[in-house]
Amino acid sequence: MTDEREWIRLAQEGDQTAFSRLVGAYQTPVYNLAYRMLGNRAEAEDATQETFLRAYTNLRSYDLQRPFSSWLLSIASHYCIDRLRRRRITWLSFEDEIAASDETGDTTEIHLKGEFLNPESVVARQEQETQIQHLLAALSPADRAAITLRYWYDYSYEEIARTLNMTVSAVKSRLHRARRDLAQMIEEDS
Amino acid sequence: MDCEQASEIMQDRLDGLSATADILRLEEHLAGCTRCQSEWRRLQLLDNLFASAQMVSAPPYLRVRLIAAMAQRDRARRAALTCTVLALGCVTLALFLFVPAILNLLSATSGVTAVLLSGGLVTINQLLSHAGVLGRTILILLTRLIPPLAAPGLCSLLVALGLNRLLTGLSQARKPDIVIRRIL
Repeated sequence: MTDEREWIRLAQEGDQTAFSRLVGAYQTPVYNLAYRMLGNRAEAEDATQETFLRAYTNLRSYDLQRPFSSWLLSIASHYCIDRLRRRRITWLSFEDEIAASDETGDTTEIHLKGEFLNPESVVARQEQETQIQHLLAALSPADRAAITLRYWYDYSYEEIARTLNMTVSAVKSRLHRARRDLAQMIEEDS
Repeated sequence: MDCEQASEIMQDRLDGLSATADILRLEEHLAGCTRCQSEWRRLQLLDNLFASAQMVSAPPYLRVRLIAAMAQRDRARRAALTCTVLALGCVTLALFLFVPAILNLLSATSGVTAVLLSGGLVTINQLLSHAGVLGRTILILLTRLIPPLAAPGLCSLLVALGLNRLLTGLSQARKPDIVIRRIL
């Protein structure tokens, strides 16, 4: 953590090497958020790049009292929400999203934390991933962000509210509604 | 406890926020309500599915791509700043040279404003004569000003392009390589 604060301070003074260390430390959390929200790898890479560029440009306005991860994920969430809203305007449906990720051969690389998986487990994991992305794609952009921050980052209601610029009660009602809808979908699918 | 309250406690329980007393009340309610049993089963299924999902790791080439994009943005920003400074210099120079000419133009065409303010279109002939005067004035100004302005204008443009090229070339040649080498 002390190292991180030092990297941030140096990066704020224009040290690119310090910022590249921050990129190394946070590229996977940002990429995972973007992938969960956008549903395909190519767009997730673009979103990760844009998030870090925005962070780099606005680094001087970053408040050192706030967790850096929270600030970065806030930039990523807002960017992905905007992107999903623009995508809706162009009338790209959920089926198109799935088709697009299929066309690009989008197979998810899962962070395995050193565990060994046999081929059956890999297939099971991929099916699980497909199901998760299918469920997430049915949610509104803000609900997707809230669910992703809750489950993959273990954020509390307060942290999600700060990250997404919402009230705690709005986060709570979004999460509850999203979970009820998703649970209903799981039953219908099965 | 009604089903709505039970539903709220189920959600809180998934987030680890429900009190022991609430959990006991929920269990009592579930024992006698098949609808809520079914909802609780679905919610647990969903919660287990999402809780067991892994982080998707960033591809290994992404970091280099990100650093290269940042270096490129830096170069573009520096180039834009240089061009803006030089463009402002050129505009200042041009204004300095043009001010007497613009003053002459205004005094030569002041009649047009008077005609328009005094009641609109008085006669077509009046307007045509003013347009003629204006045209001749512009022609004279252009023939007098183009030759002396061409040389400094062209020089400023060449200097701007040269400096821009130099700065862009220098940053391309040095900075990204240093950064990428450090990362690798």
